[in-house]
Amino acid sequence: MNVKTRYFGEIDVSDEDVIRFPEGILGFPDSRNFALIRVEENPYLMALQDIDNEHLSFLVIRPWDFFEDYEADINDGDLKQIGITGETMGSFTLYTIITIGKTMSDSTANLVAPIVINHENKTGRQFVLDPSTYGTKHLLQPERAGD
Amino acid sequence: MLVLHRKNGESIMIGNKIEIKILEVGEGKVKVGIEAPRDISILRREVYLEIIEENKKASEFEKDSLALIKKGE
Repeated sequence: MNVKTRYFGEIDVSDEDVIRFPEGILGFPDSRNFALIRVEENPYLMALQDIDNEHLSFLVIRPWDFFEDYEADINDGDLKQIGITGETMGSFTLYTIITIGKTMSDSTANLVAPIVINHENKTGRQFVLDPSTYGTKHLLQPERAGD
Repeated sequence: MLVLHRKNGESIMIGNKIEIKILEVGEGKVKVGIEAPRDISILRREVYLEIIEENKKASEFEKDSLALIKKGE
């Protein structure tokens, strides 16, 4: 099906590429069907596009590209909610949503609320790590001493 | 809003699967235990609101900004 998007033009999304978020994304409970699309301008970004709402998309990164030591501790029970069990451990991806500021240096990643997508059953969910030492705004570009 | 009084050790049932138990009443603070099915997410309200706010902000980006993000060195 062709899906109109505000930022990425018209994209072709096949049924099997639709990722269902049964709970929506926090703050967007009605947004349940997304497509994960590449961002041509930038190899480190993917966009999670709501296929029912052209105006809604989130930019996501693989956090380890920017935060080498990142650890997301999501318990097995929570992962099971999206069908991830010991046997299918290899087939999911974790992303974090980023908020882009005016420049790279004020752009941040929300490390406390990662999104996990199970590619086998095309189901995703935004988890909240709680308790956690992470917050919603981690600078993508660490401040350097002397700058 | 339904308002109920509970003492230490007493509970409230929400439906037949969710139990909220008062574990300790301290000065200006209560300790609450919650039992609920795993598919129900339980969050402190301030954390929940903070993430909603950040998600909303994250969804409002400009297309021109997409080239800004470079991998950290």
